[in-house]
Parts: sequence; C-alpha cells; structure tokens
Amino acid sequence: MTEQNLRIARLWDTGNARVTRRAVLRSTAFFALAATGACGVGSAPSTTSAPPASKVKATNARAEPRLNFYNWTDYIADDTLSGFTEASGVEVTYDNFSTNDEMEAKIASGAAGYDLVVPSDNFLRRFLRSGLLSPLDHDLLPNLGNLERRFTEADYDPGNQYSVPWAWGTTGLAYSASQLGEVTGFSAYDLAAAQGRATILDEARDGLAVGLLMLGHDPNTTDEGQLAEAVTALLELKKKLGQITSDVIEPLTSGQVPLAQAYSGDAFQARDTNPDVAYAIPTEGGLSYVDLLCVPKDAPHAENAHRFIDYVLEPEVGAALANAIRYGSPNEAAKPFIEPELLDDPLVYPSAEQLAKLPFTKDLGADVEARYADAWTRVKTG
Amino acid sequence: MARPRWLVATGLLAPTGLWLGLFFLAPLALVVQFSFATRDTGVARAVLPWTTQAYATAMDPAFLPIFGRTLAYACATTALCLLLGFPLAWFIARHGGRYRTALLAAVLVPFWSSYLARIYAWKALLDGEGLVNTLLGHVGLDREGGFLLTHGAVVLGLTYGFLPFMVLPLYVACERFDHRLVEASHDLGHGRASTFLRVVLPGVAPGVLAGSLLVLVPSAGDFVTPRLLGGVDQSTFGSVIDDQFRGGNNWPLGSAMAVLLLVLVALVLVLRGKRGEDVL
Amino acid sequence: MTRRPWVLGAVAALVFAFLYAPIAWLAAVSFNDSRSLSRITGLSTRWYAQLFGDDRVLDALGLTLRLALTSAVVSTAIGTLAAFGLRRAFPGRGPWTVLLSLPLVVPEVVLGVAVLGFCVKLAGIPLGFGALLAAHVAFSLSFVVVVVRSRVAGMDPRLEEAAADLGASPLEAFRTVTLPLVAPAVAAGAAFAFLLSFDDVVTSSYLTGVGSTTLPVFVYAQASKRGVSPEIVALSTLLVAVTAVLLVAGVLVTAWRARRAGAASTFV
Repeated sequence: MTEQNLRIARLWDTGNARVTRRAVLRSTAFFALAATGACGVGSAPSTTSAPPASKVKATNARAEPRLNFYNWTDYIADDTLSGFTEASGVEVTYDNFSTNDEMEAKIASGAAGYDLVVPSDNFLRRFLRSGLLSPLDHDLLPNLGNLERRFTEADYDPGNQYSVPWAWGTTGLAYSASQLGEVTGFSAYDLAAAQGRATILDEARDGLAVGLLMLGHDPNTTDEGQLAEAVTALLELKKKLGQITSDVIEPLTSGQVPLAQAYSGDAFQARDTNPDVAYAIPTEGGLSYVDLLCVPKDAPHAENAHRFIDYVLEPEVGAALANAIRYGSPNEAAKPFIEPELLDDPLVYPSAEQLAKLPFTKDLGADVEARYADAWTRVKTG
Repeated sequence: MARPRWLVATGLLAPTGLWLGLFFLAPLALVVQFSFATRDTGVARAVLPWTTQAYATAMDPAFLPIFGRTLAYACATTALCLLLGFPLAWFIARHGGRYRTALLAAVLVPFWSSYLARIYAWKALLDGEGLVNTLLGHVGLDREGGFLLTHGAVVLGLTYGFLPFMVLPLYVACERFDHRLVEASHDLGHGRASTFLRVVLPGVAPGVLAGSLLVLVPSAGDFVTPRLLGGVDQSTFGSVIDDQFRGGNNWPLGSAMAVLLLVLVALVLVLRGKRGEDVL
Repeated sequence: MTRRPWVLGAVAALVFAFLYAPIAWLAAVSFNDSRSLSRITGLSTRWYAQLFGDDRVLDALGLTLRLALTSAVVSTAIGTLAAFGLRRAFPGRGPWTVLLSLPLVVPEVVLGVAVLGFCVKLAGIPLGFGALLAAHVAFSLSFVVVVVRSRVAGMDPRLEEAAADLGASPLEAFRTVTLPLVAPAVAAGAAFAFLLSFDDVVTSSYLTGVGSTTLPVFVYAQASKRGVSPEIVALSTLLVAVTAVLLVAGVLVTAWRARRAGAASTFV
C-alpha cells in the first residue's frame, strides 16, 4: 500500500491526532453542508394559524408581460388563457401537474418560478403553515365581490387573504347506470356486478372518508378509535375492490369500472363522453373540496398574477370556465351565464341541506393528520 | 507499467465518480438527513428534532409481505425475460447473419412509443373484451373480466418492459461465444442438454448475469406498471415508498426505507467480497 | 451447421410477436374515430391532425429527444471509461462497484426529490434541462457500466498485447483492437441510456422547469385525468413507424450491398 492509502486507512484511527482533527472537520463540513442545504428541515412552526396578512402591494419583480401558471391537467377552458392574453397583453406559460405533492415539492423548494398555483383546500393550509404564499393584494381584485358567500367566509381562508377559489366540487360515487341500476350509497360496493371492479380514490382523506362515512362517523373526526374502525372497514372493502386509484375518467367511460369513488367534475367529464355514467352523492354523505388560486411568495410576476385572478372572477369568464370543466363555479355573478343544465343539476350545485352533508376536509392539526396518513398507509399495504 | 494501476483506474473512473458524487451521493446525503428527521405534515415534511423513529417504523414486520411480493415479481420477471430473451438473443447471434444489427434494433423499436401508451395498450388487450381474452375464448381458456388486476398481468407488463435489458446483454455474450466449443462438445459425445449446461451457459454467463441484474433490480423498483395493470393485491414496495412522499406524507419514513434498501444492497455486495467483482 | 434452425426461429418470431402486439394495437387505435383506447368504433385521422397542431406535445417531444440523446452520449462516454477502469483489480475497486450498483436500487421518487433539493438549494442548477440531465445520467451510468463490463470481462488481453507487440501505440491499439471488440456493448449501453431517459416519469416529474416538460411527464399528467389521449397514441405510432422505416431502409441497404458483393444467402 502506498503512503496515500495508509493515510486514508488511518482516517478513522484516533491514534494520529492531526488526522483525527481533519477527519472531524471534514465530517462536520459535510453535515453542515447538507444541513444548510436542508430541504426545509428546520424547527417545526410554532403556530398553526397563518400570520395576519399585512397590506402588501403586489408588484412584478420582473417587469415583463409574462405569467407562469401551474395548474391541474384539463382544468381550464380553451379560451381562458387566450382571452386573458388578448385583454391584458400578458403571455401565459401554462404547465400542468397531476398530484398536489409534485406541485408542493417544487414550490417548497423555492425556485420553481411559478406565479400562480392551484392547490386544494387542505393543501393550502400546509402552504400557509410553512409561509410559502404571499397575501393577496385586494386592491388589484375588484371582482372579488362576485364570489359566493360560502367562499368568502370559508374557514380554510377567511376573507380570501391568500386564495381565490378556482372551482369546487364534491366527492361522491360515479357509476355505470346500465350495469348497476341506481346507486344511492356505499352499499353499492356490495353489488354483484361491481365485485372486483370497483374503485376508491387514492387519497388519504377521501379514501378514509369512505370508511368513516360507511360507519356513520364524521369524515373530519379526530377520534382515534373511529379511525381504526374505518381502517378495518376499508380493509374488508378492499377485498371487493378492483383498484385504489384516482384515475377514473377513462375506466368509467369505457365501462371497465362500474363503480368508482370520484370527484364530481371527473364524473361529469366521463358522462360527457359516455352518457351511461351517472353520479350520486351518497346518502351517508361525502366531501366538498375547492381548488384555490394562490400566489407563491417568490413569484416573479405577482402583479400579472393578480390581474389574471381578477380576470377569472369576471362573470362571463368564470361561467365559460365552469361550463368547460363541469365543476361548480364559486362565482355568484357568473350564475346567469352558466349552462342551465349544469345549474339545475343538483349534483353540480347541491341544495343547502345536501351541502351540509358535504363538509370541506378540515385541518385537524399535525398529529391527527399524521394519524390519518398512517391509517391510509395501513389500508394500502394491508 | 509506467504508472501504477490504480492511478490509471482512478483516472478512468474519475468522471463517473464526479458525476455520481455530485448528482447522486450529495442528494442522497439530503435523503439520509431526512430519514433522521421527525415527520411533519406541513409542506416542510421533515423537521427537527433528530430521531430514529422512521427506522423503527420502516422495520415494522407488517411491510414484509409486500417486500416479499415485490421480490417475487422481480424474480418471476427475470426468469421470464431469460426464458424469452435467450432464444431470441441466441438466434440473432447465431443465425442473424448480416442482419444481426437490424434484428437487435428491431427489438428496441417498440420502445420508441411512450411507456404509458404501451401499458394502456396492454390494458386494452388484456381486459374482458380485449383481444387476448377473445382469442383465448376460442380455446376455452378465457377468464371472466379479462386478465387485468392479477399477478399475471403485472408480471407480463414487467417482462414486456424489461425484455430489451435482458436481450441485449445476452446478445453481446452470445455473439462473443465461440461456437466451435459447441461443435467440439458434440464431437466428444455430449448431447444437446449436456452441452448447453456445461459449455454454453458458462460461456455466456457474463451476459446472463448482466441481463439478470439489469432486470431484477429495476423491475423490483418499478411501481407504475403494477399500479396500472394490477389491483389492490398487487401493490409493491416501490409504491409504498412512493406513497410516503405523496399521500402517506411521511418523508422521513420513505427516506428511511430507501436508505435501508441501499444499505442492504451495499452489504450484499460487500459480503460477496472480491469474487464477484469482475462482473459487478 | 446445415440444419435450418426452424424451432429456434419460430420461438424468436413468437417473442417478436410479443414485443410488437401492443404496438400493433396502438397503431390500430391511433386511427380510431372515438377517444376510446379499448374499442375501435370507426376510422379517422383526426388524432394525427390534432397532434401536428399541438405545440405542447411537440415541444415536450423535442425536449425529451434532446435530453435522451445528451444523456445517452454523456453516460456512454464516461460509463465506458469507467468500465475499462474497473477491468483489472486494484485496491479500492470494491467500493467503486458498490457505488455503481446503488443507482439501480434507489427508488425513483427518492432520487427525484433529492436531486430537486440539491439542485435548487445547494447547487443552484435551475430546474429543467440541467437538473433533468444530472439525474438521467446518474441513473443511466450503472446500466452502461454493467453492460460494457460484461463484455470487457471476457476480453482476451493477448489481442491488445499482440497489437502492442506489432508496434501499435496504446491509443492505436485501443482504437483498432479494443474499441471494435467492445463496440456492441457500448452501443447497447447507449441504447439503454437513451431509452431510460426517454421513458422516465417519476424522477423527471420533480425536475421539470417552468414552460418545459418532458413527454412522459406530460403524458402521465394527462393520463391521470383522462387516460392516455389518442393523440399520444398517434405520436407513439408515428415514432415507432419512423424508426421502423429507418430500420427497414438499413436492412435493404445491407441486402443490396450483399447482393452486389455476391455473397452467399443470409441465414447460415
């Protein structure tokens, strides 16, 4: 062995004082480097509520007529972006993500460069907890008043300090009317024609909600016992299921999946292609959710982002959007322009009593959320 | 040799070492760091204090069945790839003549299509009204509801996806194999089977090993194919890890599992000692 | 060997049929009148028309091809060097082989998240082509090294020694003796690196930048909403068709050359 090899071999040898110090320095440097670059590893935030929104003026850090918009796939009307560009002269770069987690990871890394993102309501809370969003400048949003009261006073973001709803929907059951007849509740999973082919959503809160609702519990419960019961019920249900998946539109359209827990908008998109697909809000209950437009803290074109939000809040634009994606519009003023068949559909716009059975997923605090996540892992691996 | 062997070797390995050091080891240091953090369901996903909780959870025996299932899929896929790939590689090497390169390229051509398109094509072919079920129906072997959501579908999908990774290394070995050894063996009175086992197989062993490695390990990690072609009973360890970074929301656990996997493999390799170093 | 290899040939043909079955289906469905991928209702070329007008898909395809090509070139170059470096035993070879096998094992999502964190927080590499290339080469290197090593392992050193004896310099010997001997393995490694990059979904989804996405990530995002769109099926069919045409052209050239040289018939 050469001299060099000998020295390397002695690195962890405490005999040689000089080498030991170097070794210690080296390992410290390594961990320090890793620590400073830490992907967000720091002390846990002490408060669970978002800091009060100070009066922030939205400006374009980069003065150019551009906008980087990060949204779900197939979640926009054909003319929304082009209409905005025509009206404001701002060019929009439109990217898509398929899961909240992808989007989160990129925004959390801080350098993704997007001006507008569309998280769901339960993900919004996480963003706020980590201080990743900038408060909205209401001066640039005169159309904010067009929103329905339900969305200006929602407890995920009262007063729309950080977000403006893009579209909302419900989580219920989509099914093939010809194969299953009429479906009213979760007992449909026991139907013979659905055995081995039905699905539930691949989302912790939505999937567990099936278990909780089947047993008559509140889908936002914090009770550990009820959660455990739901896991058992779901493990039983798994034996009758085909898959746990959120990709249900195509299987529903083709008839491969006769019964699926699905988001209302997905069900309606499937229904558009295949009129045999029907959607029902289970008698046991379901969930509501809303996808929200937010501006990340380091958005390079914050002002343009606000102009887009305000544009979408216009009645005709909001209506065109809702008509295209078949989800509920949060825009009260847009109602006159929405297709009457959608407006009259109690599934797209449920009545007030039904909405009472369709709560939003609540933020249950870090510990309980962790328990839900673990319960979901047990359901998927059991 | 004018220069010491290890110097030349290190020089040749330097670019790779640099790239992996920068874009593999350094990022992994972050993952190791995560694995010792406490889970957080906020966006940060991993916070202080440092703890070994994630490792305790990762070694929960409840994960063993899924781990075993994943290994079974990987082994079955490798075996099937060998079964299908060897005749093909041998045929091209021995009988392909001047069209050998073309035939090999023909093996790769299907993979110019999008991966997901191929999987969805299999979904269409294997489902209740798909071509496979219809054809098998003529001989009475059809199955109600088609062949999707079964272990068979998953292994089929994996085999399809990883076949080129077996065929090419096998071809490389078969091409190099001196066929006169087979003739000599025949001349000496050995039958086909005996010749195959004692002359051919040892001769193409490097290719078999290389192909097997390149199919076994990655197929164990592929979770997209099982997710799309399989049902609730076909989830794999890779999807468990993936879930921790998504809905399962437990980055420390996912990181710990990944670290344990890497440590396991490193251990196996270290234990095999200098003997296997020639191949990998 | 005068006996025709009928059985072996039949088996090989079956395996080829297996490889091409879904492709044939994709080709059929690409002309489907409806959106369905499972049932063909009528014939139409509308998906191809839609494809050529869809800038997003074409941009994604362009990026993916450039990325796959670059990744293949880089991985093959440095991976082949590494394979040669590992040829003979030297102190420290063990750890190198362990290091090279780890990328095969690491889960894709872990690599994606880790490289995302590293590129953004530590290295200042912007998301997009740079970050994607970094990760793609990282996981491709192992494949190249394994394949090339399997060929190098059995190489007879006497051939190179003979070349040296005959007066060739080390570089000449490498160029005229060694390289041609390992060429098939290097080509195979390059093909693998290209395919791995071209098809990568999970890792890449964390590393795409603003305004740019790779084709697999794009298709995966779309597939989660409404399955794989027939447009993508049309694109896949087109890509396969183009490479198949090139292949057939190559075969024809080979056959023509053979006929010109008056060689014996092909199948030995």
